[in-house]
Amino acid sequence: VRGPESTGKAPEVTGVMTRTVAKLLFLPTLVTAVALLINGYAQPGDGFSAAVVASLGVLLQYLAFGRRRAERLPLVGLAGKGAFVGLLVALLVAAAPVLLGQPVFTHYPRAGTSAVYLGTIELITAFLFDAAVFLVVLGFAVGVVRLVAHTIADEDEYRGPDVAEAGTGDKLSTTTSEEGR
Amino acid sequence: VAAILADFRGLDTLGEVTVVALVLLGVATLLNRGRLP
Repeated sequence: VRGPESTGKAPEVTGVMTRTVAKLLFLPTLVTAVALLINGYAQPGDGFSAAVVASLGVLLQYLAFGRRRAERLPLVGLAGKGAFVGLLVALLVAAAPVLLGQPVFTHYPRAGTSAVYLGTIELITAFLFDAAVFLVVLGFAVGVVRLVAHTIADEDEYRGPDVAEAGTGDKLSTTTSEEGR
Repeated sequence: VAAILADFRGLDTLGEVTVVALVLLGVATLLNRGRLP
């Protein structure tokens, strides 16, 4: 995929094959991301890598379908705000124990005591922190891709509709593929 | 020792996450021609 995509010259990059594969891969990517996030404390994986995998899934949608169709996905428009919500949650998890007279990053329930289980997931504040990291990194990646796509689209509309038709597809794919590197 | 290491990892991650969020703000401002979004 790399070669024609980075030159941006081949029209088959956004062809039927790419679109089908992108559509097929989207949900498995998200499921993998959730698995990485949940496995964080027993097996390899954490919020950061889960968010990177999930944002690659969204990036693939942008590459294959373009800006307008990718933004019809739910919650893509909220990505930037989600990053700051995640940052707020992370700061709260870090700072809340201070109000109770404990050191920063004291996690509840304490080691040795029993935790609430949701299926096989252990509900502890460390998991909340990891979910917050997931939100920040996913919001950052999707937000930046979205902002760059918007900027390119604005420039193309400024230059005129005929240039926009010719330029949007390959310019979008080159810029976003640089973003994913 | 493991608990202290885990605490430092948490603090490190918190700082990193803050930097990432600030970079997002910076990119958004830059692409918006110097205005805050």
